[in-house]
Amino acid sequence: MKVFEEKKSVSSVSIAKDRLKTLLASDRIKCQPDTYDILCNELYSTLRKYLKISEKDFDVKITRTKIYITLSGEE
Amino acid sequence: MGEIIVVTSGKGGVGKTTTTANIGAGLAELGKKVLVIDTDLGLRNLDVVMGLENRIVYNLVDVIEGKCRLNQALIKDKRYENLYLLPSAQTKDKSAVTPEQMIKLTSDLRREYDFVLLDCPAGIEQGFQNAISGADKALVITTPEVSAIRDADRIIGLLEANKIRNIGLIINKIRIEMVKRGDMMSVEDVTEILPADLLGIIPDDEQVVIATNQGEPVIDMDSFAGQAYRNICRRLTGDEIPFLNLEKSKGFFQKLTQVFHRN
Repeated sequence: MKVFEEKKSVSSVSIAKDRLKTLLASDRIKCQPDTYDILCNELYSTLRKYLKISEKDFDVKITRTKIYITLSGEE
Repeated sequence: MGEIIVVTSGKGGVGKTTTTANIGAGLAELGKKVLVIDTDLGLRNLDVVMGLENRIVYNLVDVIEGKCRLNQALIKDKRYENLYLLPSAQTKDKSAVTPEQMIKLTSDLRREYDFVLLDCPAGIEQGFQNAISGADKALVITTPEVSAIRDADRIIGLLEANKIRNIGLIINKIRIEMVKRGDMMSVEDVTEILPADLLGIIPDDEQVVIATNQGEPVIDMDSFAGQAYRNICRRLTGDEIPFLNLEKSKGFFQKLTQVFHRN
């Protein structure tokens, strides 16, 4: 089973989209690229103290004027 | 009163100049009086794409410095009666023109033309500031690549910071067979990321290279990219035109060109 999972390749589009998400977030709020990941982790650990959430349903989107936190996976 | 539209992208090589030339030609074909201005000082290109490189006498910097009258510098297009080019200077640099001078120039031109298209240089330096300073509206060109999308996002931020909020996004060089394999971002992937309204989608089309080699507009050719540019022009003049179905039309045009090649 594990061998099968390792063989399954990730599409290059999903890699591109992940890279862009981090890149644009750091460009938009003018921070280091890894700041976005750190910010997401801290927001998640804060929210989970009060809410019943799982990491896979948690998403942070940053625009130039707003920060959206989504809990369901859908906006 | 005409509209002043800047064509910009941040990244080079995504198709700003080709887009300016073809939208200029397409709007002229729709009967509009159009002026296209090459604002890339030192790297003149738009004249070559339009096949007008042998007719240049004066240029944008000459007009701004008062060395000639505007009408002396304008070049009339070969095929479209109501399409004009104001070429850039090949020997000057970005500092030869200021944003204030561009605002003055474009506000004069607005009275004469239905559309003034400014072909912006790559980058976000003074050339970019000059090109956007007089614009009412921007067309942001990108391709479905990480670097081009990142630059487009920065450009959109800079346009908004400069109070240009009417921004149309054009996604260029789409290869539908790669999108289908999951190896190229789709139109939806790009529009999800970039905060601008979609104005057009243009397939990666060999006819664009052929047209550029010849110094002709691709809108004159029976090509898929030409159709995409014609649609963009109609949207700019207020028509509601659905976006091309890249998959369907590709097969159709491929078959069509195959027929022509055989004969």
